[in-house]
Amino acid sequence: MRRPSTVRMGPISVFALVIILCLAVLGVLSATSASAGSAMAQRQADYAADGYRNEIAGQRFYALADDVLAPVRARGGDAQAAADALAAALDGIERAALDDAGEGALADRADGADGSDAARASDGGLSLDATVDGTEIAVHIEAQSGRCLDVAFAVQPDVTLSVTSWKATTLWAEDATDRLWTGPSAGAETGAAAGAEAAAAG
Amino acid sequence: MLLAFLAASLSILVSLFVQARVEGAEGKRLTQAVALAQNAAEEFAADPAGAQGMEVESDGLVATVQVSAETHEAGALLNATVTVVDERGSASFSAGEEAYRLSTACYVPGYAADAAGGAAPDAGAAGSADDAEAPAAGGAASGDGSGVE
Repeated sequence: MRRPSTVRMGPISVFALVIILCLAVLGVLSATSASAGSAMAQRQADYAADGYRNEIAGQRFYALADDVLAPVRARGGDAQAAADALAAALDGIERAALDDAGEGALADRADGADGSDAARASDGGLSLDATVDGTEIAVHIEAQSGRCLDVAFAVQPDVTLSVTSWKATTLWAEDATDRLWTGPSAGAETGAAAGAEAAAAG
Repeated sequence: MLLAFLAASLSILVSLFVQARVEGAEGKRLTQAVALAQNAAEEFAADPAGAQGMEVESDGLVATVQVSAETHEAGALLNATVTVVDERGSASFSAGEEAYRLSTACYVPGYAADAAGGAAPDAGAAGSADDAEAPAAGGAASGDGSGVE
């Protein structure tokens, strides 16, 4: 009678299996790392594009605001007249400033609590807040990704518009999902108190 | 049987490693393309009028800046499109393929755009001396902001 065949695991087979397992682990780690790197690169590319979309909206706002000042300048008006003209045209400027970023820009207007004129426009991807306070104009542009652009303009006595501040920032929300210990640090406080008492006693 | 198992396992693992390598190279190339596009965009912000047709090259990637002028009452809004092309070709991009595209703009008070779409500075315009620095400052600020990432 013939004996049933069995797979015999010799040292070479075991060695080969261990090598295959190690290679599999390394391969999975490599693929995961490459995928994460690629996703991060794509995210960085999107962030850069959003930053420059903000830049376009800011520059467009600057151009359109300067357009509003041109007739005032031609009439020989003063800085306050120019600021008033800007406040009156704020909604239209905001809509037009966001035109490049997308269709269907919406704007609503409200008088600020401090008497300043404020308006807000958004197009789904970008939002733009502009405030005219005296001869100062503050513009806040924010992309959905958290990229922000804060611009401050000032109407000069010769009715020209100057940029006093141009700041690109990024909103950051702390990711607390990987926090290992969220409870009160009672032990640390006790230790610190004991240390302080020991120092006082010393 | 052991040899067959080894061959099958190794073929799967090799394809996994190749895929990881291609994906990693793609991410690296995109990062390089984004950095190059940002460099070109900042050069445009520093000198909007002189950036038309400018080319910046780095490691087989070429960024080209195309500028179009939009005339306004008292100046011109210069719109720039930075296109990064992979001249050399890589695992992720074929030679000559566009790797990244970036759009930016810069308003320059006192600029008069000519009929051909180019731009020429009007030095006599009021406020141009002060304001011409502002877009450059803005561009630099955006560059700093992107570095925060």
